[in-house]
Amino acid sequence: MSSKDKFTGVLIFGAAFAVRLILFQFSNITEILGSRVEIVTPVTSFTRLTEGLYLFENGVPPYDGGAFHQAPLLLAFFQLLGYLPDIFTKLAFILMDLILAYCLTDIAGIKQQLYYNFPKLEIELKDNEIDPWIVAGFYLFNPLTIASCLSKSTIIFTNLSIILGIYYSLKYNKSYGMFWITMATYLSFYPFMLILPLILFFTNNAESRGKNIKSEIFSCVGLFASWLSGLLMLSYFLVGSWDFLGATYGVILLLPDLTPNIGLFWYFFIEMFDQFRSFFLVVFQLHAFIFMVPVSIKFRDHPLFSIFILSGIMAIFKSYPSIGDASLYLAFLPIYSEIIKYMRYNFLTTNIFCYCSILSPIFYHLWIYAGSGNANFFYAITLVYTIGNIILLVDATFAMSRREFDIWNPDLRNYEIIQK
Amino acid sequence: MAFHKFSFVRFFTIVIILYTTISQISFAQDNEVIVDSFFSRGGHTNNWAVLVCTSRFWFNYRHIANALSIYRTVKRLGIPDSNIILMLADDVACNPRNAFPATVFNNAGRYLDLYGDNVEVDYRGYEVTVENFIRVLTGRVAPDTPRSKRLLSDDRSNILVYMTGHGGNEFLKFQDAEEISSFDLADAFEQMWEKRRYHEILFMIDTCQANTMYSQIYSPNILATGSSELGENSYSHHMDTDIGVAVIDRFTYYNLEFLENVDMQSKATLKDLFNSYNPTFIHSTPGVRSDLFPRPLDKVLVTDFFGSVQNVELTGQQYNISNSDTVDETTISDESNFKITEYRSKESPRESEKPDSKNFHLFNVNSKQSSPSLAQFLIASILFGTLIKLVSIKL
Amino acid sequence: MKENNGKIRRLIITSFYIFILFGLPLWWKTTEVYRAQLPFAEIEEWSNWEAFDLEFPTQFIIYVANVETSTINCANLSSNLENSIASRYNVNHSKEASNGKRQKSVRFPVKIRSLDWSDWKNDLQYGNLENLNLVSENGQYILYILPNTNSNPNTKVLVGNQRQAIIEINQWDTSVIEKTVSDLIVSLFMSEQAAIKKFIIEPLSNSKVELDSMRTMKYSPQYQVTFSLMNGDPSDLLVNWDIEEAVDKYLQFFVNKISMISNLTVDSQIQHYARLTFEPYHKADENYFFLTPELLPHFINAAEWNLASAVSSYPTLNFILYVPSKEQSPLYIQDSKGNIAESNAFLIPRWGGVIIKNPERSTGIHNFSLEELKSIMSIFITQLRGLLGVHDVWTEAKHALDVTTSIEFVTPPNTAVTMWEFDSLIRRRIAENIVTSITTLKSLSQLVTEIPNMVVLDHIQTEVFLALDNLAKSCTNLYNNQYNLALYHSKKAIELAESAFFDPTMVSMLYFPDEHKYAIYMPLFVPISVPLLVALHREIKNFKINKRVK
Repeated sequence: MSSKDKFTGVLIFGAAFAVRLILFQFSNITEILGSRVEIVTPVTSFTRLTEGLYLFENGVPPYDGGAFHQAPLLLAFFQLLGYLPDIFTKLAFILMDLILAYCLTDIAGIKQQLYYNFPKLEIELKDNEIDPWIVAGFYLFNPLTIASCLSKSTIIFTNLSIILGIYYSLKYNKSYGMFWITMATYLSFYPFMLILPLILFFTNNAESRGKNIKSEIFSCVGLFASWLSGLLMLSYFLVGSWDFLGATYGVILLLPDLTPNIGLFWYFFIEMFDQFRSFFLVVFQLHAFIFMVPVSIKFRDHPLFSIFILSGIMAIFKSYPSIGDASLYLAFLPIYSEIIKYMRYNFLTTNIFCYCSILSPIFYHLWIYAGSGNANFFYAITLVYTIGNIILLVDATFAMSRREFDIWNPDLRNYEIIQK
Repeated sequence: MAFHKFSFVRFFTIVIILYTTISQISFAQDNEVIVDSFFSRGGHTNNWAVLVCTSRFWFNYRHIANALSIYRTVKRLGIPDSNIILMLADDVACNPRNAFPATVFNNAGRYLDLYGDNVEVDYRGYEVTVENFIRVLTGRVAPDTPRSKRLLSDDRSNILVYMTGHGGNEFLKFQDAEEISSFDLADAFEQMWEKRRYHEILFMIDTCQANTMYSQIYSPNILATGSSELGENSYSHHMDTDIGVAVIDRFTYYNLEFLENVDMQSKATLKDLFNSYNPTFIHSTPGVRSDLFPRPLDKVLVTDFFGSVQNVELTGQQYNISNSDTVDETTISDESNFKITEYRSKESPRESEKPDSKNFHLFNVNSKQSSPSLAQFLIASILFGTLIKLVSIKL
Repeated sequence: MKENNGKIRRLIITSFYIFILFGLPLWWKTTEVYRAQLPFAEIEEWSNWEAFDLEFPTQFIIYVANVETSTINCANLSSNLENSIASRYNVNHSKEASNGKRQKSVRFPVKIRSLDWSDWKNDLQYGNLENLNLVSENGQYILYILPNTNSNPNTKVLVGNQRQAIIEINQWDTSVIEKTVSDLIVSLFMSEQAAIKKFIIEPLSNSKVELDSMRTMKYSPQYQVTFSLMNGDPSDLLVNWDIEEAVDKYLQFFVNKISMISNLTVDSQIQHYARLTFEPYHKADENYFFLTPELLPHFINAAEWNLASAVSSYPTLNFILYVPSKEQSPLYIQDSKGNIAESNAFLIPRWGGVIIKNPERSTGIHNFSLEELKSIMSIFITQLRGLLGVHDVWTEAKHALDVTTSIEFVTPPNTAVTMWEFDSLIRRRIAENIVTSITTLKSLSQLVTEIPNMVVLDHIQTEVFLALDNLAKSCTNLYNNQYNLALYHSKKAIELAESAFFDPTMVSMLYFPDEHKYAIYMPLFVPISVPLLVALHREIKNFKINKRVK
């Protein structure tokens, strides 16, 4: 990259670092943001992490209290971090955001390289492609990202693992790539659905790199399985028993904790008849995973795009979503900036995000603190937010498909295409 | 007072009939004493009342006033609090919008405070649910339910079941969140009949399209009356401009008008009560369902259901007990020598099947704490890291 | 890129459907209702009375005095007595079941053994029953037959309170002895049998006014007995009573005795300002107030008197000693003929009893001493006996006997219940418990069958099995004349049956009509299925078109 780009990069990263550091210095920013249900959830809350860490350090099994539902390796990480002064925790979070953004720039660069040889629209020949640093900038200055970082929500670890997994897979480093996606699955369970696009990374260019498709698939799956069992064994060594499985994956899958969040599950399961609970749990979890195969098949030539779509689906349909998940998938959108011109509902989705950001804390306050609203108010905003995300995803899917069609069929460019 | 004399004559005939059947009773030492008694002709020995108001919110003030008015009536006519189950879904007396706090009136003149002293509400607020109502009727309450919340009726209990709220075609709305259908009600009554939990039931309901609610009942000895037919609404009677909402419903108002003239000794019958219903005044067509009820309505006293007229039997002679400090009775050794082998079931019945509530926040994990070996963990993680690097180099 | 568009599309749609297919067995598994299997066939057998024969056997040992002048043939006596009693007892009460299959039957077999009694002159004097050394059980009774010593022309019978009786026959003749003995036995047991028979064969006739069944409390393993002293106006007269000592002295034995059938917990209270809801009538010429039997039903001021127990859910028996206020003193109860009732007390069936006392008002304070409470307690005990179902043996036996026979009953001084009465109560309660357990189990099985969605947990199944087991044991014990064991097992059977029927977990499906199922599934699955079905439909159409083209 040219020095000008480097300068933009340094500027963006420096400004992001400064903004976060300054905002961290507000004494109770973490408590304020860390108590908002849209930003932290029972499986990503930093306060619960400190609770679990305290129990762990005092010899009590950390999962006994019922408050801590996060992976044991985080306990190890924060225990080590605890030996350093307090500022280092904050620096660690900021650093992870910056690493994530740096990897995003690399990913954007690689993507542009990969797509270099594909046909382009005439209009795109004139414009330059988006600067990878700008991609990082979009991620770093997204208010959702900043809020998530400041609240010390541990979703950052999952996001970072996902991005690192993509990064290494794009560099055809199977071991590291699989390791990081395994780490993401270990932390959050839902990134499991990103395995398929990652494997597609390896198999798409398998012949050109002289490898057998089948062997690629088997080695990827084998690596995933072994790294996962390795991580679980490590956790077992750390906490000394297997109950962390029930306390982490059990909570994610079976939803004993129905704290409100911006997801769909909690309201539904509060009012569910007991005898149908397990059935609807199965339905909802299956629903999150059902898109894994079709999306990967549809965009088998664009695995990065399918990761974008699947991350979006994860952010909407997982059991405890937060805005940190949204910030991850929104980070991929600038990478595919060329489809934005095909997207039809940009104005609508932008407005929905703005409205929801404003109304959701208001309605939550009305419901819980003022007592003059009820859960329906807050859940309605949650639903609007979900609709906004879904419109964005569907729009992006349409835009991608349409652009693909237009690229490969230049003579049909301005025609309206319908399916028979 | 002609009324008094007439009842005395009637009573006298009853005594004559009873005399011929009871005259044989004699007690120790050959004294023939005629025992007088007064047994109700219906055959019941105790009365219960289940009064349910199913609506919440301030604008349903009149429903709570309905239920409390009937409560006051049955108490006045003799049913004790221990035999009344009063379910009020909301507390309008302490509602911030009540201009007369801690009171509930059913008349714009505000003559009588229904919520004054001596009111015992058994199920209040969110406890008034369809499930609790059915549990009360069928007796399947949780083992720790206090006595005042249980319907401890037996096969000689007459029960008055009064319900008021918002209803529709074969359903009644509870708390704005759920409903009870006429089939559920009929099944609950059938459960009660199976277990002989009632002698006779008077089911009275004041809602819109109330008569549909008792159309599915199929158990014997149930008499039902409702305020309006299918497709008709039930209306409120009048509003109190100071309170700001309607304070009583028409059907209940005209019932109360009749019942205020009934006291414990009254011989008014249900036929009189039902004849007093005037659809022109009530603005809807009240209905009566008596096909399941064996007794003719003109022989059924109002106090058979609304009051608690107890049977009495005069005690004649008394049992002769001696001065017990002198006599030590020779006890016969008989029954104390049998052994009981108790069959112990393999697990105690209660603790095996307690269903876990799925909506709790605390995740109970019984962990066996083996000492977290930090050294083991560090070594393992270092090994793991090197393994990853090695594999990455190889592949 | 475009060539296998169709194939890719089909692959995508198939992948959706595979997931759904994967989910279908999970749907089945997660929505099935847990139902433990109940023994319906066995319950059906019991409720049709096919599984057992109900018998209440009794045995009599008759000691016939050995009079040299005319000896009685004991063996003949036994068999003749058995025959005559059998014919009079109508031993086999049965009723045709509605479908003609099986009859509800209950039998009262009687065994009689006559023994020669040579030592009678020394062993026994009439009236001196305690000299006899007796060990007896419920169901075994001993009769002593003596010739008449004085010139009394009548036969005298003395029924003791420990399952024995002495008969002095005026004419020492076999036929006279037979007739007297069989009359006595029938008179002592006939009413009990009628009650049992009624209970078993026709349990549904509640609509009529029947004094006995209306008065007696339904069986409960525990009763709460409350003694209340109600003072109409304490400002004029303070009252107090030594109730604890009175209960210890007079009631405790009865409670201990009855504890084999039901436990009685006793407590007491004093209430002041217990006003009546109405004014009693005033008899001006004699200056007293009175209540007529028609006013008595309104006596209990339920609204203001605090009588219910807040603690236990067991049936309560309330006994009230009422002291009227000065303005209503002295207060008496008049019967329908205008005479003052001697006891000034009345019983409220299935509720309790009331005594009205008018104590001395001069000192302003009155304590009911132990002596005074003796007569009060005796009335209460009478009422308590009636409420618990103890039938007075003397009243029932009297009218069945010949007028030439005079019969006397010994009253037990402390326990307030003779063994005859106690045995009869036990037998009736056994019958009641067995019948009630069977009907409860039948209702339970009907309920579970009718509502296929109802959850039936394991502990309900355990309780049902145990209840049936106890029923069987109870009937076997009855055959073997072990009434106490039979009572124990019947108590356990009814407790288990009731606990299974009233189990709180069985409510969940009671108000869940089928329409709710649609409301549960439709909002989620109908919108989801629309694109899937449309896509499938389109593919099938394409497939058909392609096939036709090919």
